[in-house]
Amino acid sequence: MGEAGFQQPVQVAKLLARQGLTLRRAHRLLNRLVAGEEVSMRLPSVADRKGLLKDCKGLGVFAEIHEAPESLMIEKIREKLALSQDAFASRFCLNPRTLENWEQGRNRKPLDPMTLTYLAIIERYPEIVDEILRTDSTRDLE
Amino acid sequence: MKFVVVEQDRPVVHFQVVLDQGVLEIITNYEVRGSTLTLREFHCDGLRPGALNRAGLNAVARELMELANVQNLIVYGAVRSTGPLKGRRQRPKRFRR
Repeated sequence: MGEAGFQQPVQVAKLLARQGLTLRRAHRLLNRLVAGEEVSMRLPSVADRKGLLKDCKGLGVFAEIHEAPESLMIEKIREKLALSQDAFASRFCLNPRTLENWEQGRNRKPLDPMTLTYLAIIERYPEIVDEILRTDSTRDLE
Repeated sequence: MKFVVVEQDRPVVHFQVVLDQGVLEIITNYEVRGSTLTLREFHCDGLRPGALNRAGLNAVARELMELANVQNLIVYGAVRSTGPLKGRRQRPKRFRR
């Protein structure tokens, strides 16, 4: 969330408080926004995401909502990259057994948001993940 | 002039000042020490620019001091969110009953 010069600071705090923040926290975040900071926050109860973004825009606050994907078709991601389970697991530093369990739905619990985010990054930007995972010794040879 | 406390989450309070010109909404930290009420990180909106002149501001301050039963009021504004002084913190405003 960032600030674009707003006329109604109290309304901004009220909007934040309506999303489940305490008044004290909403006020603190407002102070940071008017100071020109970019602020990230967890909002406890957002009933209407589009409405929230629209209200923020109306108040001159640039806002984005970030959240981990709820689920992903891991097999589809792997097939898109034309990799076997072993190759996919090796390339992206995953445990092959874990990957197999994910694909076959053997996990009892849903994947945690961090794993889902990692897999979503692999799906969209595999080359960036490659770059991050490449060891220093590989880079040294270049 | 009427003061309405909308919500309080100490030390922060959100209140309205109902005036002839409209409703002034305020959110601020507050502290009473001795005979002084201090408001910090003070934000307000609700009235069109210039609707409340210095005399109007003094009247609101006087009423607030009476309600809080204090002799002095100091308002430390938050960093300004609009206007030519946007991004700057104004000097504190002091009022005496």
